[in-house]
Amino acid sequence: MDIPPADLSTGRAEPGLDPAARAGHSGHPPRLGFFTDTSVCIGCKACEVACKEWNAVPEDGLLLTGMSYDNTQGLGASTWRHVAFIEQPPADEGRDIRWLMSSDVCKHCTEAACLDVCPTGALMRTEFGTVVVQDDVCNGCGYCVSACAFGVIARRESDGGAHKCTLCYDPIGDGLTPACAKACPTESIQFGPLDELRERAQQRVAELHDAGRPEAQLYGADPGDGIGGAGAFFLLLDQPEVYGLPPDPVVTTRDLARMWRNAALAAGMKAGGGGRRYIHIGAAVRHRGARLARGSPRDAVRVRRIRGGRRGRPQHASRPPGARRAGRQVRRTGGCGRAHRQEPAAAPPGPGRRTVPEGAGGHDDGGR
Amino acid sequence: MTTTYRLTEHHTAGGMSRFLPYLSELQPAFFCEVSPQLAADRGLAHLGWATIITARNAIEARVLVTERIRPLNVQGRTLHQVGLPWHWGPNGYTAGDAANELSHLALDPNVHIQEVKAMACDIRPGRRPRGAALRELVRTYQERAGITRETGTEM
Repeated sequence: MDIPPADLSTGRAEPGLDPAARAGHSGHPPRLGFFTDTSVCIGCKACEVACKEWNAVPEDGLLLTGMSYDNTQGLGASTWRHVAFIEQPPADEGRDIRWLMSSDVCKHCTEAACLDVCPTGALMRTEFGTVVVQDDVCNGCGYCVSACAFGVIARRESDGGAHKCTLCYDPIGDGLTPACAKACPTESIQFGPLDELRERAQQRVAELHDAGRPEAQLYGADPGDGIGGAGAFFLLLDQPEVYGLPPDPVVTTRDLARMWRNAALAAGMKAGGGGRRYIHIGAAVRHRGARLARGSPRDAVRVRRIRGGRRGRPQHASRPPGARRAGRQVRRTGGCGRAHRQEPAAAPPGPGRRTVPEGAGGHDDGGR
Repeated sequence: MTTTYRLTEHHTAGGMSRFLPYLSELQPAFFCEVSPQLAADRGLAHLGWATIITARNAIEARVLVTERIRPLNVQGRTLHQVGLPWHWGPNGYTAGDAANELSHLALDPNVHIQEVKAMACDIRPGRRPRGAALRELVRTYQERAGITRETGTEM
């Protein structure tokens, strides 16, 4: 593999590198993704069922929605593939309605906001460039839910954790095809190396244009868009908003660096030069802001380290037995954010607590 | 006039597919499909209940008002269609009335499969009566139409 790994000592990422390399995977396989060609989707929903079967995603309710034959409604914690049925009125009197069907899925963004905001490192970038939630690490904080530009990821009420498409991380590691693509009878869902898929998609659009379908367009295939291009992209036969897709998605953490800088400025002014606690926060904020400003790695481990404190500890280190269970209980009561914020104050100071001396704050010190 | 058909998500009368949660959630309720014109005519509300009555029986279904169903023009007369998927029955994870309750014992002349594509019916809003009241409802319709045990058996 000729792609150099991201420079972990500085966190600098070269633009244009593929996300797996930026996350620190060296010698990784090519980036894998989906090309969903909605022009041949017949709305059979085999992808939805195959996905749930393979990934043991629970059934999530018998609800007759009355929205065409779509009783799934949208992507969620227990729906990782969703076939949208869009009915458009007949173009002329006496003609049939136009039916658009499209199998939606997690976009596996190049710039993935869910991954940026995850405080636990549960969301990670795989060696295939896909984005996966680790069930056993997720604490159910829900930051990723509001961060996703597409409304893909969601928390499941039954277990409190966030869930979404894994692009079938387990079978693709063995060279197999994800369940949805395998089950698709019309090859509307195509799986493979992203470069190949993009090439194939361009050809398909050209074919459709030649066949008198000028409305055919690709969605999420451009690496220059607001999410750096999607790992799962689409061929649409109408404008994206018709399918319920944002027309110009932007990674929601784009402005985070600027926001953190402003917050740091405000905190600094409020502290008025005194108080060790404010200096501590300011230093940490500057540290994080600087990192994001220069295009931080989307690597979850790094974000975790930058955060420091309790969350900065490796998950397994010096955790008392039963701590995980206690965490889950806190989560179920719905007060997780507050509980986490209060906890460090009550805990005895130890190696897990980060103290940043005034003036420090340049580089990653391992979070301790 | 009612006509029956299949949905992608269920298999035959649903004996296998309606017991599977992953398929049941995709088509979770027995429904009838009517045109906006018929819905306005009969006061049927989208996602509300309707009772469909033929000479054989009466069943109830949730209503989908949709442009997918269009009234037919037969020799200058408007003929409304009521579409019924026939996958439901009283058991399983998703249960509902069976469209086959409405059908007759006639065979398609070409292939000799049961003929369930065109059945004269009435449709009205609300759920069907239960027990003896249901039989009484069907009997009044039969009486009005002059239907007896011999109807349809003439050669």
